[in-house]
Amino acid sequence: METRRNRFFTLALDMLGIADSNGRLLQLNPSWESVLGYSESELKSISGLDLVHPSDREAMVKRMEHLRIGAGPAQLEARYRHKDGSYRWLLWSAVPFPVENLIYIFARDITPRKEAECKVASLNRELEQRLAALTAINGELEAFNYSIAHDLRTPLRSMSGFAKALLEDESANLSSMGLEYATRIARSANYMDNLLLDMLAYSRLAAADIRPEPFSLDEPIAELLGLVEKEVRDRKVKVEVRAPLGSVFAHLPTFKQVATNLISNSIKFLSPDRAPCVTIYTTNEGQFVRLWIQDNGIGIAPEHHDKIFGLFQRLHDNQTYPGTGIGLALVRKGAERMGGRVGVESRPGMGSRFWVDLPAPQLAQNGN
Amino acid sequence: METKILHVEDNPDDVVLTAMAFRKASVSARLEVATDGHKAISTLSNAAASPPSCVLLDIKLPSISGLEVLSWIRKQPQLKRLPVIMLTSSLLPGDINQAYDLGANSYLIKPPNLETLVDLAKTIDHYWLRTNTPPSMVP
Repeated sequence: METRRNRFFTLALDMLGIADSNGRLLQLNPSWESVLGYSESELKSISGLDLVHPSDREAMVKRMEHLRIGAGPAQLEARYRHKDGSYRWLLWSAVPFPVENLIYIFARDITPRKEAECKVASLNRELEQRLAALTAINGELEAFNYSIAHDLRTPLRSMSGFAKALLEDESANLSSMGLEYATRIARSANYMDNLLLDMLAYSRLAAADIRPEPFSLDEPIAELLGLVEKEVRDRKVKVEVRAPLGSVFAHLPTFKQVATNLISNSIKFLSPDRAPCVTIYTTNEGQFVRLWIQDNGIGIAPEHHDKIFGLFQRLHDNQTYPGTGIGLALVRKGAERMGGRVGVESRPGMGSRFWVDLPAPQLAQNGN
Repeated sequence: METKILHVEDNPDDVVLTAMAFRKASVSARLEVATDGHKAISTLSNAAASPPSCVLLDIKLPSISGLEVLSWIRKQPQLKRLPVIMLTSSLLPGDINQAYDLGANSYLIKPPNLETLVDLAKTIDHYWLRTNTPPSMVP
C-alpha cells in the first residue's frame, strides 16, 4: 500500500514535497528537478526563499510565517529562479501539520499561463494606447473641421459679400471689365464655400455615429424631391417614383445625404437631345434593398464608372456642369457606413442608373 | 422710441456686411455694435433702462465667447426674456445644442452670400422686430 502511494508521489506531474517548519525541503518528487533544474540534493540544501524573485519575497515571507506558526493552509503564485538563471512561475499551496512539525507542499509550473496572461495584458495596454491615440486624432479632426467651418469660411464671406456690394452699389463707377472681375470673384468665393461645405459633410460622415433603424423609403424620397421641386420644374424634368419603395434598415440622416446627391445628379447631367426623365424604384437583392435612380441624361463612359466615386473626381468643366467632385464620394462613404454599397450602370448618351444597396429590415434585425 | 439691435461681432467685415444687408433690407432698426463679449455685457448693463429689441450674437469672440455672453444675459432678471439670435459660422452640433440649452431664441448660420444675408435681415425684422410683441412687454 505504502509503495503504491509512493509511486503516485514519484510519478505526479505536479511538484509534491514535504518541508520542515522553516520551509526546508525534506522529501520531494522528481518534478521539482525537471521544473527548476536543481538536483534533489541541491533543493534540499537551499531554502525556497533564496530562489524566490525579489519582488515576490515579501509575500513569500508572510506565507512562510503563516505556515510556521501552523495558522492553516497557504497559497501563493510567485517566481522562482531556475538553475539557468531564468524565472519560472509556480503556484503552490501548502498545509502545515504542527504536531509533526511538517509542511506538505503541492506546487505547479504555471509559467506558460502567466506568460500568456502577460502577453494579453501587454496587448490590452497596446490596444488602449492605440484607442487613446485614435480618440485624440478624432478630436483633432473635429477641431480641424471647426476651423474649416469657421476660419476659412469667414474671409470667403467677405470676398463674396464685398464683390456683390461692388456689383450692386458701385456698378455706376465700374467699367464693364471691373464688373466682370467682381462677378468672377463672387462666383469663385461661392464655389469655394460649396467646396468647404461638401468637404465638411464628407469628413463628418466618415466619423458619424451611425445607428441603423428600419424606415420606409417613400417619405424621405418624397421629402428630398420636394427640396428640388424648383429645379425639376425649371428644367422640365419628368420624375416618376414607383411607390411603394419599401423599407430598409439604415440611418435616416445619412440616407438623406446619399439620396440627395443622387437625385441632384439625376436632374443635373441632362442631355440636350431629349426631354429629361428620372425614375426612382427599388428591387429586392436578397439581404439588400436596391434603390435605383435612373435618368436619361448624358451618361458616363464605362472606364469612368469606378473613378466617379472617388474624392474630387470630376468629368466635366465647372461651367457646363458645376460641382465640387465630392458628391458621389459622399454617396459611397454614406452607403458603406450604413453597411451598404453603391454602383452605376451607364453608357455615354444612354443615361445612367445609379443604385444603392441598403440592408433589408427583417434580415438585418434577425441578424442582430 | 427708436428700435435698436445689439450686434455682437468681432469681424469688422461681418460688421460692415451685416449693416449693409440690414440697410438693403430697409430695416429701420439701428444696429449697435459690440466687438467682443465684455463690451456686449457692459453695453447691456449700461442700457438697462432701454434694452435693445434683440441681440445678434456671434459665438467665436475674443476673451469670452458668445455662449458665455448668452449665459450671462439669461441670468439677468431684466434681460432673461430678451430675444437672442445666434448669428455664427459654427456648424458644430455641440454649439447649436448648447446655444439652445442656454436659452437662445434662434440659431442662424452666417450665410455665404449677401443676398441670403439680406433675406435673413428681412426675416429678423419681420419675426423679431415687427410682428412679435417684445417678450419683455408680456405681463
